[in-house]
Amino acid sequence: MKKTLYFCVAALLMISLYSCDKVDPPYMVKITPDTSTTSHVRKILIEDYTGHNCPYCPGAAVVADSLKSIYGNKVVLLTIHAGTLAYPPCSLGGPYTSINFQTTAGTAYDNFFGISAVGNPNGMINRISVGGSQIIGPTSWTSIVSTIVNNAPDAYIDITNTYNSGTRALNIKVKSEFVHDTAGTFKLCVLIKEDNIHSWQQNNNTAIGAVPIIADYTHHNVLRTDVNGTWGDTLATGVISAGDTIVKNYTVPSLNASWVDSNCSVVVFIYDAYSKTIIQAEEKKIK
Amino acid sequence: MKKICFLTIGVFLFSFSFAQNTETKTRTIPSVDVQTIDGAAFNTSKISNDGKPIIISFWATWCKPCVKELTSIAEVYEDWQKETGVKLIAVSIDDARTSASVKPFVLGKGWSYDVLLDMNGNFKRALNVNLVPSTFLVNGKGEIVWQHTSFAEGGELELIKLVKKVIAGEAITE
Amino acid sequence: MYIHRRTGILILLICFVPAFVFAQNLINLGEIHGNFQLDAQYYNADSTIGAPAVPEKILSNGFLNLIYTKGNFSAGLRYENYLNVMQGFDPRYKGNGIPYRYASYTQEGMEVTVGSFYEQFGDNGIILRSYEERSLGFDNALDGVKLKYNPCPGITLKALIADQRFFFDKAGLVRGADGEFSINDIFSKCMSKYKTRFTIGGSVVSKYQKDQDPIYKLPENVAAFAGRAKVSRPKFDIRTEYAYKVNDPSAINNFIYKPGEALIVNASVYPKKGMSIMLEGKRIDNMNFRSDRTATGNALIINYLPAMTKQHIYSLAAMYPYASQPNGEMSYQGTIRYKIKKETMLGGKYGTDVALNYSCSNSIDKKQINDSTAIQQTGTLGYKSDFFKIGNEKYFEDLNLEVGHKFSKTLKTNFMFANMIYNKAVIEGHIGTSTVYANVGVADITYMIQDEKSIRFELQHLYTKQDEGSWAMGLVEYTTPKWFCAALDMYDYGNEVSSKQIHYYSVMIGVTKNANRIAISYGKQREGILCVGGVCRQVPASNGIQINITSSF
Repeated sequence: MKKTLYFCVAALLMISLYSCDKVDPPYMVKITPDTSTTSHVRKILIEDYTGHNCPYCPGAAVVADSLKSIYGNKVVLLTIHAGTLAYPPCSLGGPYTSINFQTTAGTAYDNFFGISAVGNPNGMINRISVGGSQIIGPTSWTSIVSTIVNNAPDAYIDITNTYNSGTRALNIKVKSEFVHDTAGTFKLCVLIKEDNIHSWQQNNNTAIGAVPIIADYTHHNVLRTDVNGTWGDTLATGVISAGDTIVKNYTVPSLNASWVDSNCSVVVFIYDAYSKTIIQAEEKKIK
Repeated sequence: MKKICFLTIGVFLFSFSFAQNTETKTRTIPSVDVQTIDGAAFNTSKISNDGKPIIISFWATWCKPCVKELTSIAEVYEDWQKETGVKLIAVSIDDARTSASVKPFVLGKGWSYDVLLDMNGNFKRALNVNLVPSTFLVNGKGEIVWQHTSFAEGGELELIKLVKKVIAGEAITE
Repeated sequence: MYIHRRTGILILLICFVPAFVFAQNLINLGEIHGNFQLDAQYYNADSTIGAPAVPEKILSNGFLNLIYTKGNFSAGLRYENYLNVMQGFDPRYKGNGIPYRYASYTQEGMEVTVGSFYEQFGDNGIILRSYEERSLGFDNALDGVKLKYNPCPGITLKALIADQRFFFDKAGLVRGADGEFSINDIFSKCMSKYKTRFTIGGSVVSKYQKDQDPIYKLPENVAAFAGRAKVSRPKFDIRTEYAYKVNDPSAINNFIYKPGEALIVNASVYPKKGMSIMLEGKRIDNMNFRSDRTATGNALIINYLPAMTKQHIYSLAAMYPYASQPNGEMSYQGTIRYKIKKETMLGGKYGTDVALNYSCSNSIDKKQINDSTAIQQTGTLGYKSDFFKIGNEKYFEDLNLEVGHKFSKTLKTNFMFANMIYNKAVIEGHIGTSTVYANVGVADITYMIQDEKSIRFELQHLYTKQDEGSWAMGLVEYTTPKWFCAALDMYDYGNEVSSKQIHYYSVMIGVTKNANRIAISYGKQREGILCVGGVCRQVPASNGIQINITSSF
């Protein structure tokens, strides 16, 4: 009995001593960026909840952009300004004018999931739950995306945009197709985001830009508005068969005059109405 | 027949009440590994005082009321020991941050208690202590007969009264 | 005497019952003990202090611990309830459940624990410490198997393999072993006369996490080693521990591959009774060690890096607490304690306690490894650092003097003065905020009205030109053995913004009966940071009624 225990302890000690991986340089591998354009793959929505008074947030945008450069088509980025750090006036004072990227939908998502209450930056990956919470910090985005990115898709989304530059009217046709037999209630959310908006942003990382404020920061993928309501409309309910296709049409009578239309894109995602988990996302430029 | 029934019920009830009375709280000090103030390993099952009562007081260098309690008792400890032979064991729950300062603290205050170091809170958890100061009174048989949390100035007077009760073999009803 | 059969059986049963009941008492069925704690608060939104509106109105944290013991066997569990979790605690504490349960058996110097357990390797826990600190909402309990074995007096061996608690879930995989050898007890025959005690120990901890990263080549098994030695004499103590961690790129260190190192040394001397001098020094270099390399905040920490500063009791002195910097810090601390004897001029009738303390924390020296690599650049070896060199950036400094004097049987006083430097940008992570220079003064006076009734006054003042400006605080507390009440006010009179010159007042009343305590408080609380050890949590401002109940049985 005693000898067995001595042995167990020694064995555990041995295991611990040998379980040590020392990595040799180079420590980073060159990733061949995914440049495929097929739309029939799983596409993951990465939501970055931020605010221009949030000094740590530029770091999160760097992570999101690196994920886009690695996985290309397979990720859809969305930046949502919500919470106290997104309130217009600059908390540091100075000559920075008020800007407001808050939206009804963005604020509603932030309140529902409690993201800015935990802190900014924080985000969600397809609104999946990890360790009991849907709120995922930017340091964990890469590892979580890499675990789900190669899973087979649950649905396909095809977006067709018809945009009239003169009247700024936009017609969005969304074709959704379910890949497997399933059941439940699924909703479709249609949003518009604008890329490359130049404005100021608080920052605390000298490697990214000026501290404490970057006067001319490029805001990417900023959520501008929802098209079919904050929580979207019902796509399919009850028993759903593989191959079931639903086509929906939406119209935006006139795109907001202050948005640069060539930088705007439509973001669509299908989600489970109960768990709020997103099963597929898609994006397409309007012009 | 009726008489026998009455008898049965009577004996039953008597046994039960007898059982309740003999079912005194025979709670003993749990066996936990801690350290002495000199850093030697010590198991709490070895806590004893030759059949005389023991006071176990949980404290920390950062806990003001705990330090007050132990300072107040320190002033009368010699008298207590002469009168009752009671031993006070001060268990410090100072963790890795402040545990190195316990011995300097105790020696700097001039306390003569037995001090034990419960660095990771093992003894505290085993006795279900939530707040410090927490004081336990152990009788000569090693049974915990009383416990109390928080401290008020003059509270040591109450404590010595209870110690005397324990020595006299009286049950503590509060 | 003829006994009817039925009667006979009944008489036998009657005789049997007391014997049976008596036997129950002889056959010990074990004992159950536990404790209970409930903290609940009703929140009012208050824009003047920045207290946010709470939709649920009432938030609470509840805990119930039960331990069953019978002889050498014990088992226990803890039930936790967050419906919903109070402000300032991590919102991932949601719902209720039993996150902690274990069974343990001891026999002949061997102890086996299965399930949840807490453990610390060495006196510092520098490569492994799992513990619970409820006031912070910190619990990194390990869940698995733990063996402890004393093969002979003086040798303690421990081994464990477990995963870690992550709110109501589990994550990570940790293995560890530790050996502690008390030389005096091993060689007790020849060392029994020695006044000096020698102890040495060593530990190894290794964690496993799968590499699913597309960019970095991550080590899946990361090991940390530590060795320690302690020499103890009646008038002198010295202890030291050194730890080394192999490459552990993580979110906290920006994914650099530099090994981590730590060294802690404590020395104390006791020249005479009533006097002690303690000196300690610490070096930490890249010692963040977690079960999940991407975790931040207070989640999934395996080791413990203690802050080498005085833990202040008075609220204004504790307004700017230091937090250990896992990425690098050089700290040292010195404390002199002296009890001025009674019947001397300074000592008075009862003596005077004097404690002088100084602590200082700086960054470590970091240099580039080559011209093309920036310091702490991701995916590289990070930086070079001279082991004994202190860096240029000051993180924290605290010089304080505490004097305690009893004037008479009814009047006790305690005075404290502190001068502090607090690098808010580094410690709180608010880059761009200025370092706070503060002076704190405290007078704490207790007056005994009657036998067991006392009244205590506390006056505190914090002077600073930075952050929220100067503060003044007054507190009155009336205590009796059965109940107490208190009223306090913290006034931010020195704030530059006149609308923020607010009185944070509160009143409280509580009842204590043996091991039970109920306290109710009402008032405004400023937002702050609560730090215990090197771990902190942000507490938002609040306005409302709070109730705290604890009970032990």
